[in-house]
Amino acid sequence: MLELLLEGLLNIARMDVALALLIGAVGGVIIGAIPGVGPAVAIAILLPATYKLDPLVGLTLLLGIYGASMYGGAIPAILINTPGTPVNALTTYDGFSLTKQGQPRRALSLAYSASFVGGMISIVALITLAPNLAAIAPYFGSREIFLAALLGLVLVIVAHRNHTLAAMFLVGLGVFLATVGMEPVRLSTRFTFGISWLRGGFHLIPVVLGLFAISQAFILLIGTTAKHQMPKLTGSPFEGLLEVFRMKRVAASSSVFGIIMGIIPGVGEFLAQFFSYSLAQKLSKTPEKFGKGAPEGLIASEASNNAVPAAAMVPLLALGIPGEALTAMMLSVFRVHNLIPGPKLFQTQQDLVVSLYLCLFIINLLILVFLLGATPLLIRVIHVPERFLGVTVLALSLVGVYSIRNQVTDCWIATAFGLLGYVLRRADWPLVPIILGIILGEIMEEKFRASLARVETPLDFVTRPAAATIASLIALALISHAVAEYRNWKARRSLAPHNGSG
Amino acid sequence: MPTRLEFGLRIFVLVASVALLTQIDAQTKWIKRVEWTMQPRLWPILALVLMVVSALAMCIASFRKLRSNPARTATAERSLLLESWLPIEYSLWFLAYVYATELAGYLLSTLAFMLALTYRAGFREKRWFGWATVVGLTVVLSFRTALQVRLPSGQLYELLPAAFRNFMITYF
Repeated sequence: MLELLLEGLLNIARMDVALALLIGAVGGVIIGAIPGVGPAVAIAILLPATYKLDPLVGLTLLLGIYGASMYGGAIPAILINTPGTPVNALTTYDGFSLTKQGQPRRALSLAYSASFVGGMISIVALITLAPNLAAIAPYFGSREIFLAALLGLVLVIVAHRNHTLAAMFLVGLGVFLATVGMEPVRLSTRFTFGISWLRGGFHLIPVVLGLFAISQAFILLIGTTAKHQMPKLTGSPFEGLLEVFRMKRVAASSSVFGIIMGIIPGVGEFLAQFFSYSLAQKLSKTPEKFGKGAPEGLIASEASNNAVPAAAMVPLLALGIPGEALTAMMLSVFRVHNLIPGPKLFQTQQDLVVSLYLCLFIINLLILVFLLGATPLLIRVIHVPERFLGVTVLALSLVGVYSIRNQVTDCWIATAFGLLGYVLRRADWPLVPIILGIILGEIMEEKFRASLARVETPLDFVTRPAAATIASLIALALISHAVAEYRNWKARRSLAPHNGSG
Repeated sequence: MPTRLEFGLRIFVLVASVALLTQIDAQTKWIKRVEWTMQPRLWPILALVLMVVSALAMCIASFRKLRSNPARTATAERSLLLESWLPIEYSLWFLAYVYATELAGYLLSTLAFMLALTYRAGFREKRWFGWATVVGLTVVLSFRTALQVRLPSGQLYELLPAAFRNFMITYF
């Protein structure tokens, strides 16, 4: 283990990695601090540019943006009651309340330290887990990966509690989009309608850029030209920094929730935050203060969402299965460099994996130092009006789309998906299921075909222990979702006559 | 989104899904003497069936909601429909930027796009045009000059003297 760590340290002791760490950390915080941009937009735009970089450099940059944006997202959540990224939503409850009570500095440093604890605990856990993941490699064949991808799709559907049907439709749409073009085995075309450029299928980048960046630019351009009103920052930046250690239990349990939720494909930060916040409230001696400036609430929200990015890399690195949109985008970086994430990566490229975790470690340190010194400067970026951000995001989108293949058709595809994304955002339908449908649909088709050579009956799919475990998890997810839906339906039904009489 | 518009959207996705499903025969092949599990048609049909079933269920749920709560939200509907023109307009701006890049090159088209769209977005003060220029230049210098991201060189560059043309093609 020590040898691997040393090898990893040597791997990252390079100027290009150092620059990626710095740009990722600082850039991610800035992106997170601007409400309405977020890591998905930034990663979608930067993705084609990272294809030219060394995989470690490219992934470090993207991971930096992913992790750092959540730290940055806490700033507008605390100061102006507007989460910088969607996953900072719960931070507004107690963070903004503390600001209203005249303690914005305390709220900010509490958020930073909780995020730091969450991030660090998750990285330590993953460095410990990594060798064990390599050990299960021989048990993962086509069947297991097919079932793991199916589990990812099932979980992304059931995780969207109030939008289950929309998520199901969009997963179907994603899987369908993945099938468009030339089918690889029999070389027949599927749903190309005789259009020659459709024979290559939909490239992931224009779809991702359209859905996340261009649609967001449209929303921003329709927004306001007004500036946000900012409270005055008084007091020391270190105020509240050590307070997190007085609430060790909340910080630790929230980080563990973040890790577990991050590892499970399709679940992500939202549920991690929700569960951590609910648990912290239940365990608190003063639950009535939650939502009114409770430090435990702020810690629960920030520690859990910052534990997710490192954990979300586990299904990607260990199984080649991205659990959410951001890691789905990172999968394409691996593919471009002919690196195949999956169990074998831990055997053949263990130094890359360890280097990535070390980079995550350093990113967290860099972010904390940067935030403690640069918060007053960062607040200025929150002032940028939404419409001007929209102009900038739309200009940046062209780099992302056009640079992949220099094809105007990609720009048309991105524009069409931008309009689709705009409609879906307005209807409050989730965008992530489409991306996971495209990525996991492709994996499922390939692995399903590969596994057919080794199975005679459908039961053979689940005879191996790992496959049986994943199949049981799928069944468990579906049954628990059905039970929850039935209970909701019963509750609604029991309320109906009461409402009617009222 | 107002209930009636949401219902309209659900009907639209149902019709689109059914329309795609009806094309399955024409748009995919069924290969003889090949098991159904290996057919190229299998995965498109699975995806489309999932789409049709979920879209149908959404329509039914939306119809029930509409029937139980027939309150009209005409103002909200009208403003959302009026607003829906804007993303189409901005799409055209984006596509114009794409074609302008092919014609005038990345540097000029980016600066023109930033300045024109800043004006269109309602910023009329000089300092916003200054910011638009700074952002445009930063984008070009970061992606094209420093990162050497591949973008088409503008046709206008052909009119430049040879040495300067090469410089512009390489860095802008």
